[in-house]
Amino acid sequence: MAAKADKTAADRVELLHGTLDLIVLRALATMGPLHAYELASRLEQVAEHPLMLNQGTLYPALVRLEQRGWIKGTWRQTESRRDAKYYALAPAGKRAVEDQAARWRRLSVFVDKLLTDDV
Amino acid sequence: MRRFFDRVLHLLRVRRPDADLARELDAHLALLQESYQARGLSPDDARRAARMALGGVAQVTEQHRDARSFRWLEDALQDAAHGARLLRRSPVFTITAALSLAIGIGANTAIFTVANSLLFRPPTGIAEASELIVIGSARGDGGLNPLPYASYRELASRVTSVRAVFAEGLFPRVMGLARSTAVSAEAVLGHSVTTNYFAVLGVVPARGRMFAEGDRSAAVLNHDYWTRRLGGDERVLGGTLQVNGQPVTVVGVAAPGFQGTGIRASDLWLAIGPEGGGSVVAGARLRPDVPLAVAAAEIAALGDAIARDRGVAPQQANRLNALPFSRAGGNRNVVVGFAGALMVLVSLVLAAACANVAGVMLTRATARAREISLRAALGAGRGRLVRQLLTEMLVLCLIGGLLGLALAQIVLPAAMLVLPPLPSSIVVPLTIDWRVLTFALSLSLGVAVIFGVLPALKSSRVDARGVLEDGARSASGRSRLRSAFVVGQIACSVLLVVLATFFVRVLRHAGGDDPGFQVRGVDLATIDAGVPGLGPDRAALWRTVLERVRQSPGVERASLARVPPGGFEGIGVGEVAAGDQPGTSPMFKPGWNVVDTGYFATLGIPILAGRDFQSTDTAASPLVVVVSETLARQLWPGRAAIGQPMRLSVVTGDPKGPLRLIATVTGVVGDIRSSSLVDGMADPYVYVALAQSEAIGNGMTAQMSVVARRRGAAALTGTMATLVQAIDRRLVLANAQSLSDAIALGLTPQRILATICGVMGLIAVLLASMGIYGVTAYTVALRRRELAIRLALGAPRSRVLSLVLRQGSWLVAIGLGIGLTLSLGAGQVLSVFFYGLPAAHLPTLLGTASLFVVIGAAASVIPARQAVGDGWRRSLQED
Repeated sequence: MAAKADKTAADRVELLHGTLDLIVLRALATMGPLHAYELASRLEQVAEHPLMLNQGTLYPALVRLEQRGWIKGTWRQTESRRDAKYYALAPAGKRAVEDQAARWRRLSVFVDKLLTDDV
Repeated sequence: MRRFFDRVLHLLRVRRPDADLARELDAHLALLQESYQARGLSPDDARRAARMALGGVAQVTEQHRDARSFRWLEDALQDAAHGARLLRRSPVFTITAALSLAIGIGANTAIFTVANSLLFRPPTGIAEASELIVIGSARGDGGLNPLPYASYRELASRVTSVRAVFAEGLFPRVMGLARSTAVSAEAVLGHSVTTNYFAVLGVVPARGRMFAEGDRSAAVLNHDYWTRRLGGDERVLGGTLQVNGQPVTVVGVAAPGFQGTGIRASDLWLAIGPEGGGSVVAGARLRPDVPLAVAAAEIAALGDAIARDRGVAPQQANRLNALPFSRAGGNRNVVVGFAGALMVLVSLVLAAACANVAGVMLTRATARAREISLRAALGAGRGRLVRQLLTEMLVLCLIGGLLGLALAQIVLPAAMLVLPPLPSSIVVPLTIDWRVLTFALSLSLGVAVIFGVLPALKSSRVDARGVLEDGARSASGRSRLRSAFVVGQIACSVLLVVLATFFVRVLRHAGGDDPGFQVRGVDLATIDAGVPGLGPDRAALWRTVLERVRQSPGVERASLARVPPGGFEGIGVGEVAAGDQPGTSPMFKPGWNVVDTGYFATLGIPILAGRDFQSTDTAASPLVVVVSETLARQLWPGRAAIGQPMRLSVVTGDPKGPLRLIATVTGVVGDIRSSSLVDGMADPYVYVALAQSEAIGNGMTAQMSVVARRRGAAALTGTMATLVQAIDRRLVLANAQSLSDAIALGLTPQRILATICGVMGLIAVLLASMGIYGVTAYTVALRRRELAIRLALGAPRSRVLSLVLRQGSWLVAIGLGIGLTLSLGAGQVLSVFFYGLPAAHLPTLLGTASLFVVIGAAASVIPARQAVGDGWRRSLQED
């Protein structure tokens, strides 16, 4: 158990600042409303490399997105009849996904270019 | 908007979202624990693992709270830090920019500090000053004149919209105060007030009591005076003091700090008895539910009714009006006008400074085009970029603002030292309070926004790909904006320079060169015989005073005058006309003066025809007058005035109309120009002999000034004070100063205007030359390659040089055009106030124009020479 944890820590990818927002938005866009635990599990599933995601770090991202009016949280019951706050994409959030995606594509092209060009 | 609202909500109710989060985290932990348990961990291990996966509830809560509320603050701090870093990197720019902003903001703040003290800051010791109003008879300019005491009484008995009305004399007056009849009086400032004065103002006693209804011959002492001059002696309370030779009972001492309602500190307050007297200024405390406008309307209506009851014709009646209470009293509008005018003037420099800073910011934005476009490419929103550039300007303006505040604190006391000596101490506390702070800070923020937004918008509009790919080449839009800033700067400085010369001319013409009399070596001493307690036979008093002064060894000549030059240019008594037949010739409104024999000789005013007053001109002999040259020319153009009859129409306040008299002109004297009036436009003047002054109405000679020419160098003011006390030890001098001080005091507003315009003009010229230099250097830098190519292709240096210089000259030409047009307009406005002074003064305009042409050439030649200097070949090889 302990050995496994050490190995994953070495392989973990530090999340680039600002990427978490996009990841959350994309997850909500594709999966529909999710609560924080579901989101965290989902992110751990999709990542090719295990993400260095402290599950708690989701919360500041969620409140940030909620303040921008991109997502909206509502209290509902889970299948296991437990109260949980479900986050859904707001209309403004749908547009934001597009914008943010385009922005990151631009950046990744730029970074790619930096890395592949002769330097 | 919603986000902002959310944040405010979050800030206000921190507990609720925290509770919400706690609930959410609980659910999260439970789910995690469930999943770990499902994987086979014991409940305890599962709980521990869940907590580890979440990363600490307390930390998450903290992060959550940060994200909720303070993100914007973090952004702003980041921007500010970034801005500060950039500013630190170019210290010369930062220092000059901050200093020039500090001068502009500091000058504005200094003026505001004075205006604040006069208009907004309530005098110490008064309760709820915002409820107070001042009442007087409406003046044409929006200010207030005093009203008769009888009108006040009537108003007080009829008005319903205010809680209580009180009245006070127009000014505190100099009085002679002695602790007993056996000692000489010392001069104090005493203020007559109604017995409810302290009660309505809410001033509490420090000792004894304040006035009560029915108090007569009672006094309340200023706490400061009581401790300073009477040693805080408790025995004074309930005892008697001699004020102008009358016994007065001291009932109490006012709370420390209370100095009165106006700008002059009173040493004591005297109760106006029920018999009242003279002209007063009224004040009142509003009822809490009645706004000022409603009270003012009732007061105006009551004033009209009072006038109707007395049978005064409506067009002759003075309407009553009410204004908010302040130290400025009924002269609020004068203070607002003067402070406003000064602020406009110094704001020109602020605008020039801001234009300079904004211009440099623009240039630097061009230099930073790569950085900005990189940030844009990395996804920084335009709003964020604008905000960042604005923050930079804001940081600069705040530094400027803080420096300005400090500067104002240094400049104000220094300015007070430069002012001519004041005849009595004034209370205008020049302290920084929240109003001054708010003013300085909002001014800084305001200019940051006004002058920051445009450059920020311009600079943030970058074509990301273009700049990244081939560097900044075209920045013509920014260059145009920068040129516009420079043109504005030049226009501002031209206006200031022209205005400065305007006010210097006003000062010079107002008396410096030839006021029509000899200023040097003359001392003035004013004696107020109108205060209660002096015998009615004033003529005898004046005779004795003049005799003693003339016998004094230090005195060469002496006389008496109702109004010596300086301060007031004569007093308004009525109208005059040529001839003895009513209605045959136009009436003139001259300045009047009452003088004794030898007045003209004492002041060195030439007698051009006829004679001075003589001892044979008495109350019993026919009425004679002496007129000034201008009046003689106006009344009898082309003829000798001596021996001509003149009709006098003297306003006495009698409802039956003015007093009509016939006098004979016995002398014509030279014109005098001593106050604000300007060359060629001396006021027409009529002089009446002191001995005959009773004929033109009583009360004219209640106050006279001794005018004495010194034999040696020693000032006579001390001698005269002793002399007067020797005649009557109850008497004190109301005012004693040299004639030149009196004149300087009268010219203070003009001197302030001239000084401020001069200093500000100089700074503006400096800023403008910096601006011209900056913009030329900038274009030279932009066109470096083009110019180098021209030189390489064989263009002569002079050609290239003139190419560069042409741009600078255009800016100067346009700026000059705008500035001169503006100053012609300003001259038109000013010539209304300083009539006789031409609005357009050709030498000034030409001089200003050539000054700026020279400055413009000098400022653009340096960068232009660099462009064609030896280094030009290198610029071909760069890039």
